[in-house]
Amino acid sequence: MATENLEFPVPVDLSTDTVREVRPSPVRSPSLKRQRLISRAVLWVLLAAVSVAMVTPFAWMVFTAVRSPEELGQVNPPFIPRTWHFENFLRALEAAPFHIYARNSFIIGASNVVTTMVFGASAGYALAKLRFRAAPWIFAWLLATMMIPFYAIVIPDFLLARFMPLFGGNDIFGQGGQGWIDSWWALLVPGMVSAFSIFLLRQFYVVTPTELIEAARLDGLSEPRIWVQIITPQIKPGLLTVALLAFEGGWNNFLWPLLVTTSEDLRVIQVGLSVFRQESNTQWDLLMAGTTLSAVPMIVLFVIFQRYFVNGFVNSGIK
Amino acid sequence: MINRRQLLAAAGIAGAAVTAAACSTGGGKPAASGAKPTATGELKGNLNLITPEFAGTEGKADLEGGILKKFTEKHPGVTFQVDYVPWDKLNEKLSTQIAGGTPSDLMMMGMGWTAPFAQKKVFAPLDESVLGDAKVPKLLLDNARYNGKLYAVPLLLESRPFLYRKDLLGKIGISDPNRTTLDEFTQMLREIKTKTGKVPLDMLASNLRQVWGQMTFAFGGTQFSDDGTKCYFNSDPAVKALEWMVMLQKDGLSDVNQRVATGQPGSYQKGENLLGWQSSGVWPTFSKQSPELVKDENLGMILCPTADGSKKILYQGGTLVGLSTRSKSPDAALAVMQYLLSNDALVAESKSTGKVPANSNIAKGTDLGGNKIIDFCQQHLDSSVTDGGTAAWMEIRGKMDPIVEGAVLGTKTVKQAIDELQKMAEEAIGRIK
Repeated sequence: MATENLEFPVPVDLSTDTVREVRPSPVRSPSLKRQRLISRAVLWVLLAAVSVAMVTPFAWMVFTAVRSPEELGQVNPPFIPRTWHFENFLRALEAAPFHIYARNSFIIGASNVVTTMVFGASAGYALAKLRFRAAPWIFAWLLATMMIPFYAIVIPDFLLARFMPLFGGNDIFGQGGQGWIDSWWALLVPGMVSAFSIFLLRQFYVVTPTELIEAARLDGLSEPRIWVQIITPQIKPGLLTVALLAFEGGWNNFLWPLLVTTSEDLRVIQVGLSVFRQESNTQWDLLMAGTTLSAVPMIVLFVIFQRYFVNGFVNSGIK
Repeated sequence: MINRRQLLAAAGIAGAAVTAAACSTGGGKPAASGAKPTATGELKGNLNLITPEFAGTEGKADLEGGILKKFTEKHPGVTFQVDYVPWDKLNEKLSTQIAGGTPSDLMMMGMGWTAPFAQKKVFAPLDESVLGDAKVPKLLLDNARYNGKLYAVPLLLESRPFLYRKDLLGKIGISDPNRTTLDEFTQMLREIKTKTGKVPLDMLASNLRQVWGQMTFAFGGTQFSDDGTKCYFNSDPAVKALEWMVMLQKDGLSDVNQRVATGQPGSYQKGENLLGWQSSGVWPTFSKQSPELVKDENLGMILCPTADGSKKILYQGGTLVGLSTRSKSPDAALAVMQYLLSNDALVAESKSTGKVPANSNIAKGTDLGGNKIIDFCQQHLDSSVTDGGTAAWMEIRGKMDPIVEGAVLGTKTVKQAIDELQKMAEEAIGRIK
């Protein structure tokens, strides 16, 4: 045992705290220190390598955005551009009405956040904490829907939007008009809540203490107040995580807005970026400038909320 | 007060109504067969036009503020709603529109797409008079037919001539790489390889399906029967075309492995090859990134020779426009179609998109935006060939590349690849019969 080698007297009362204080062995500490130092160095090197691997594509995107056409045509262009052409950002913004596209994407993202917070949180809470027989089946069904790729449901989704009764000139049977097509309804309603958000929020609600709910019930609180005032505040990191994901989903959405809109006033930023990709000619400098600008809001949001975001995933049990 | 049961019942009925509506095909009647433009009467209607071209602020200004505006000045009763869709998502957009029963009045799409959409009765048949004075290459018009009827009109082409480096070929004593037969052309490639040690031709790094399509024509064949119900992938010319491609790879005359990542300059642009099977659309890129390549003293262009030396061929991708069977203003839409194919409109379209006008009536020397590759291809429209020609093309084309690549890289024999291609195509055609 380590205590046999100790040079100083061991207290008779070996409480846990005392043992902790006396255990460090002066003989072993240099080796342990070295080991710790090495493992920490390895960890840092590994983390640094991963960080570089993650950051490099973003750096390359930004550098490509400011490269000259000559450098773009080089076989091995320098990593950092020799000359910086910041006017590419201006040219990119002039190539399409990005102010409209960005506004639309923001509205969709913000709307997704609000609706997901309301509907996703209520559904997640119900599945996690309210006892009803169908709960496991509904949860399994939600999980199952996550397995279906978007491409498989895009046409049924489109048909639902197209034949929505009493919208866009449609009659009660969904005929005669164009339903939600080329309207804000088609852009906002399908993204109101996702199965993944419900799943994630359920995972957060599951680990909250049920005793709080029981105590609140004994105190006479209604179920909605228990949900809003007692339990939901316990999962703030989860809410932030889901909010960020919901906003990101709306901001980066491309195919669905492209399919359901025809008016330029309803187009979104990701659709706008496709302007720079033509059949046989891609303007990489402008595409990267536009992509950089479109990535900025997400990067800023992540930087601000990264602590909660990471905690959110850790606590949800899906890390 | 509505109780829960009543609410559920109402929700059920509403859901059933939505489902029934979604399963129906929507309103509208197919246009009469052989729609032809009417010269008399005032044209009216709000036309929806879906296009993969004219993207961005400049493109929109060119199309809506220039090309279409000239039409509406003559026909003020016609208005346009233009839907700009990128090429790589055009099929999805068209498919969902069609499924929803709301296709645009005028639909622009790619070469080879006509038969698949005509077979699904998306496009209305057109009377040949829609071509007006335009002189469109026969093979391209054939590609726009289905069951003998014209269903679309080719507007703009993306041509693939051979570009060559005059300066580099001159150094090894080849002033003109134009050859009468494919054998002579291949012999010249060997000579270049011997003298320079370089891979002479940038061709196999391109889309192999398209290369094979062109070379099948070069060996005197075609890919499908006129009615598109028979596949000739295992015909002698198609086999010889694939063998020729395999030989190019084996002998180092062209190299699949010279493919570059998206965004990287290709091997011809990098100067690694002396000839390149290049798109007419590379002009803006070359002009900006490698301006020395487009100088007169460096840039030469030739067509692909055929095996028997009887003619030259030029592969064409392109953009066609078709008329929806559900258009509520078919007369106006047809008039627009005819206008888009007119000389003045096509020149403006060509300048805006950087593509070759599909009308050989346009006089030599007409300013097409200074793109010399376009000028060259415009003068050789009669040599046009293209692939496709069956209603099952959309399914077939996506599966061809890996099989052809397998043969070129030697992971399967030519016979295995041909058998696989033939079987795959026959199955796809069988499904639409």
